[in-house]
Order: sequence, then structure tokens, then C-alpha cells
Amino acid sequence: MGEASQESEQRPAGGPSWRPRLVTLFVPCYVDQLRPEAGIAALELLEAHGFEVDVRLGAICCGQPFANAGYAEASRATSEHWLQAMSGAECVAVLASSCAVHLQRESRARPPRGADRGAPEPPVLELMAFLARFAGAAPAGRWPRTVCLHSSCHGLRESDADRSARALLARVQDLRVVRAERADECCGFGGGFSVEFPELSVRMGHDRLREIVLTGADEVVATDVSCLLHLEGIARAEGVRLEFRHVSELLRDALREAESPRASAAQPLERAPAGAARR
Amino acid sequence: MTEAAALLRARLARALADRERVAAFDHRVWSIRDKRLAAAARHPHWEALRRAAQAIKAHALDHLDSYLEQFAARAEAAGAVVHFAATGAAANRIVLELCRAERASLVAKSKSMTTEECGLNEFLEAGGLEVVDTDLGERIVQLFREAPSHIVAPAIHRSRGEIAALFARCFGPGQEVRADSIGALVEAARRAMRPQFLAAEVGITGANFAVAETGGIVVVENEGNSLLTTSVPSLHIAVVGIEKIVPRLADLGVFLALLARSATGQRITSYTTHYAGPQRREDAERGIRERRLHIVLLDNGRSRVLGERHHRRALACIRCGACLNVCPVYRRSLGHAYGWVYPGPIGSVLAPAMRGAAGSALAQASTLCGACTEACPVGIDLHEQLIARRTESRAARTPLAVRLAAALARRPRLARFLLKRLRRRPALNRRLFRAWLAPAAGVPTRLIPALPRESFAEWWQRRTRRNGR
Ligand code: SF4
Repeated sequence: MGEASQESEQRPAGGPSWRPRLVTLFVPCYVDQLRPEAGIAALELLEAHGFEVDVRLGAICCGQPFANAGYAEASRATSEHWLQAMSGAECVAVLASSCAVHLQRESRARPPRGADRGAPEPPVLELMAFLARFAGAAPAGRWPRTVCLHSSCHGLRESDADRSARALLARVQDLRVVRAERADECCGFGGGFSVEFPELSVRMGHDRLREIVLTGADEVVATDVSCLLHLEGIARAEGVRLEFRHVSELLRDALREAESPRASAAQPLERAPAGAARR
Repeated sequence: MTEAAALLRARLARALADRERVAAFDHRVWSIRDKRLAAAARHPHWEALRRAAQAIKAHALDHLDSYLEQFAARAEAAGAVVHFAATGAAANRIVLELCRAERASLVAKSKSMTTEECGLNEFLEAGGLEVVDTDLGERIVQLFREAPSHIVAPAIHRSRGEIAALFARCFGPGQEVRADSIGALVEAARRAMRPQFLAAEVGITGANFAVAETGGIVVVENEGNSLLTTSVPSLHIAVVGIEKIVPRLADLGVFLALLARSATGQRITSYTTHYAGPQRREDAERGIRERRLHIVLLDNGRSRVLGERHHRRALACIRCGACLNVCPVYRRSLGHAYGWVYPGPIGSVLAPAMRGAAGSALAQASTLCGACTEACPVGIDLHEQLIARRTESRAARTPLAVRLAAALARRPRLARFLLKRLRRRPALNRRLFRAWLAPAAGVPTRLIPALPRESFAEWWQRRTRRNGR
């Protein structure tokens, strides 16, 4: 693994002892609209670890969808806007490894900004990498279930997200983390790919899902909500009853569970019937 | 979606419809991936080897013109005749003329993707020659009258049973071919092919490497068929892509180790043959006193790739097939759905330069998962190159929908307002997501996400209001 993985942080701000006080959480557009629970959990998790959290609603999209589809100009303009909206932030934690990788790449490609051109750009870290770095030694709570960590491609190959999530989950008491066969195989989402090649996209997801089900896990977590939405859509269509959540949802619940154990967490959670509206 | 992309989607969907065949194909190809990983893990200096290969190739490509001159001069000094072919058609003509001058009627050809790229078989056959592919996999696809599905394992899309039936049909009555043992299949092919080896008047090969320092070419193989192909006839023609140049003989120490492990998981292939000039053996029985070697150096779009800033590195490819084996799209394509000789990630990167506009749709068929980049032994950033190909293929004018989306991405308040309205319109949502549903014979196989009442941003605003911030 990691044969070709690249450096994952473009600027390790502030040296080894640096610890941001105020974190700006970036919840990407599709998480904002389709899976707000993940954003809420991320925010509550950061707060539980003692960070003050800020959200800047002036940033909605990192620009990655445009870049991957080949619209470099649209991507540049969108990323530019994003960086402006975040300017002056102490540190940005991004709730998606694919967005984080894109922003770090964009940031690298731009000329460094001097003091005369406004505030310097904030360091951008994927949320799991952020937590592993700044809260990696803190108590991580308890969660007595079996969970399958699905590795997103950006989290696995192009950033530290997967490794960080694994490390954080390993600290949760009573949690069994399992890996599916072919754990480094793509789920088939791929953004525009899932729309342009839906048959292939669904088949890839179906195959991934089958391996995940075989692990016998109670729930599936990942560092990217996009993989989860895709896999969940297939699971629901096929009548597979599994819960799909962002890692931060589990980590937040594990902390709460350790504080005040609820009967619900000791056994498999009640699930909403497949297809039911969430919340 | 362009017309070419729609066609590609249709071909891929058609391949997928044969679920069992795809599953078997995926399984066989995946097993090569496992062999590569195991072989790489056993090598003590794998990453150093990869870096060395990358550096050597980068240097060779930067000085390709002078290395080609050096190669040609030394090859001729060693007694070979060197031809330059700008296109596949030109290479075909050169080969046909050489065969005609030899008054040949039967040509033996060992495994070569470069000649597949030129369509050499079809061209020679149209010219009245019989061509026998001597690599077992190539022979199988030749008898099936189809193209290779994999650049290393040409017949990997065919099951053992299908191959047994084919042999029984083609190798004639009285030939009992048992499907239950690979050994029996190989034996049947050997019996059928031996007389053709002996009768061939011309032997055609590709080359894995062309060494500028010595003017020699190197062919690696496992079956010994290349050796036979070049040992019997008095004329050996090698068709070699210009990117196969390595500067020094010593460089092979790096590349042979990488190629065998990456392609098949072997530490070294069974046969590695260096041809430095024509062979000097006489064959009194067949009246051969002099043997000749002709080397056809083929461009066919390669110099175009060389001139592309983003893609030059792709010429470092040693055709090991590792990027195919890890590619989740390739493994579900049966190889043929890509529609040209080089399938998988490397093919999609090379296609626009080597095949023109029709090839640019291929880069769309990728999730950009990056498994190819991770696997490539010579460090080609394949998935980044796929993104670059997409960018290059876009029309100068960005479509209205994209411009609108990009404008909204910079107007978050308006975007959030519109998205909030949209979430309340389930019917409209279903329409917008229609493409996502992938109806397979009318049955949706992926449902759209259930829409929440409140977005994260709305929750955050409510919370900040409540907290009086
Ligand atoms: S691009 Fe790399 S991995 Fe793919 S065939 Fe060429 S050398 Fe092998």
C-alpha cells in the first residue's frame, strides 16, 4: 500500500507544538445537502475534543467535481473562491478526503500569498488526519459493535485519511474493526462516472457491498460520505440492511457512550426501515 | 455525454450483462495482481528499482532522438537493417515487401502488441500470406478471430472449456482435446503448431527493449515460441516502438526485474533473448547459410505523445499490464469493451494521441481511484493523466450547465437557497437523479439518497441563533 501516496499536507503549520484553538469545519456541498448528520457529528466530535469550531457558510464547494470532469477553469475559479472564504482561518478541517486532496493540490499549484495580498492561506487538513494529529492520544470512548471501515480511494492512496481513521478507531474500546476482502478496491462512485457509466458504477458498488456484507459487520464507516451514499443506495435497492455512516458519527457516539452508556449502543442499533426519510 | 462516450458506455454495459463471464474474467485478472504484489514484496529494493526505472526512462525520452540514432547505427554495424516507419500502415508495407522479397507464403509471429496496433496480421493476410501467431494466447485469439483482451495475457477472457472446444474444432477430427487439464491443451496446441514453426519462411517478433549502446533488441517470453519463431526462418523482422529504447545494456538489470514481477509475478521470465544483429548459425539441412535481421522502428503517434508536456511520461510504459490488473473498470470490461488494442488506464492515456479524437472518450471511463498509479512500476501518474486527458478533450467553450454550476459554487447563499427549495421537490429530484438510477431492464439498482429536512448549514444557523452568537 501507499506505493505512490503523496505528501498529504501542503504546509505543516506552526511546527510540532502547534495546536489550533479555533477550527473551521468545511462540510462539502453534497454532505451539507444529503447527509447533514455527518457534518453535525464532525462538529460535535471536534467540540468534544476541546476545539472551538467555526463554520463559514461562504464556502460551499471546493471545486473538485469540475477539475475531475476536465473543467479546469471552473475548478480554479471555485477553489479560488473557497480559499478566499477561508482566508484568515487558523486551520480548516475538511469532512471528505477527496475535497481535502483537491484543495491541497490547488493550494500547492498557486503562488504563495504574501502579507500584502491578504491573510495567508490556512492549512487544510482532512478531518481524520486533523484529529489523529491533534487528538490522537485522547480517550476515544467505547462502542461495542463490529464495524467495517470502507477505504475511500482518496483516503487510502492520496492522503492520510484512511490510516488516521484506522488509528482513531483502534483506540475505541470494545470496537471490532474488520476489513472486507479487496479492501483497496474502489466502490465505483467516482463522481461524474456514476452518472456517465451507471451500469458499471452500480456493478462495482454491488461487488464491494457483497464483500462488506461477508464481514458480518453491524455498520459501515468511511472517511468519504460520497462512497457511503453510493453504497447505501445500492444496499437499499437490494434490500441489504446495513448502516452507513461517516467515521466521525461513530467516534462521536463512542465518546457519548463512554460518558453515559445507553442501552441502545450495547446491542445493534435500531435502524430506520430501508427507504425511510432520515431524521 | 459525447457520442463516443455513449458508445463506450453501451459496450461496457453489454460486457457487464454477461455476469458470469465478467466475474470469471475479474477473478483471473485479479489473481495476476496478487502475484505481482507478492513478487514485489519479496524484492528487497522494489521502490528503489521503480525510481531508477523512472529516472532512466525520463532520461532516455529526453534524448530519444540521439539514442535512436545511436541504436540504428550500432544495430546496422552489427549486421541488422533498420527501417523507420512513421505510421502503422508504413510498417505494414515494409514488412509485406520484405516477405514478398523472401517469396514467403507462411509467416510465424510471436507475441507483439505493436504489430497488433498496426493490424499487421490482417494486412499480411490481405497480401496473400498466411500468418500464424505462435504465442499460445495469441494463437487462441487468432483462432477465435478476435483481438487480445489483455496486453500480457491475450486470451484471458476465454475459459478453459471454450479453448478446448476451439482446439477440437480447429485442430481437426481425431484430435482429442481434454478440457480438464491445461497440460493437455498445451500439448494439443504444440502438436498443431510444430509443423508451422518448421515451415515458416519469415519470423516476426516485437521487442521489449532496444538497447542503444549495443544496437541489440531484447525479447522476453515464457513459452520459447519467440526463440523458435526466429530460429528456423532465415529472415527475422522485429517491429519495435521507438519508446522501447534504453540507453545501456546495464539498464536491463532494472527493467527485466521490474517487468517480470509486474507482468506475471515471476522473478524472471523463462527466456530472455538478446538479438545483437542477425544470428550466425548455419542450417545446412535447410540450406540456410545467411540469416538476416530487419528492425522496423515504429512511431505511429509516439512522437506526438513525446511532445505532450503532460503525457510524455506515459511513453515510459513497459507494457507490463499491472495497471490493467488493478483497474476495477478494466476487470469488468472483458478487455474488448474499450474498443482498441491497448485497454485499461495506459490505453486510455495513449489513445487520444495515437488514435485521434475517437480515443478521447476512454478517459471518461474511470473513477480516478488511482490504483493504476499506485501499481505502475515505472511511476507513470496514470490517473492524473486521465484527468489531463479529460481537460484536453473539453471544447473551448464550457457548457452552460457547468458554467451555471460554477457560478452557483461562488454564490453560496443563492446556491443554498435553491438547494433548499429543491430538497422539498421529490419528483424533481427523482428526475434530476434519473441518470444515477441505472435502470437495468427497467429495475432500478441504486436508490437516490433520502433527502433530509434540514441541511447542515441550516442546522448550524439554527444553532448559532439559539446560542445567541
Ligand atoms: S502504464 Fe505502467 S502499469 Fe500500465 S502497462 Fe505500462 S508500465 Fe505497466
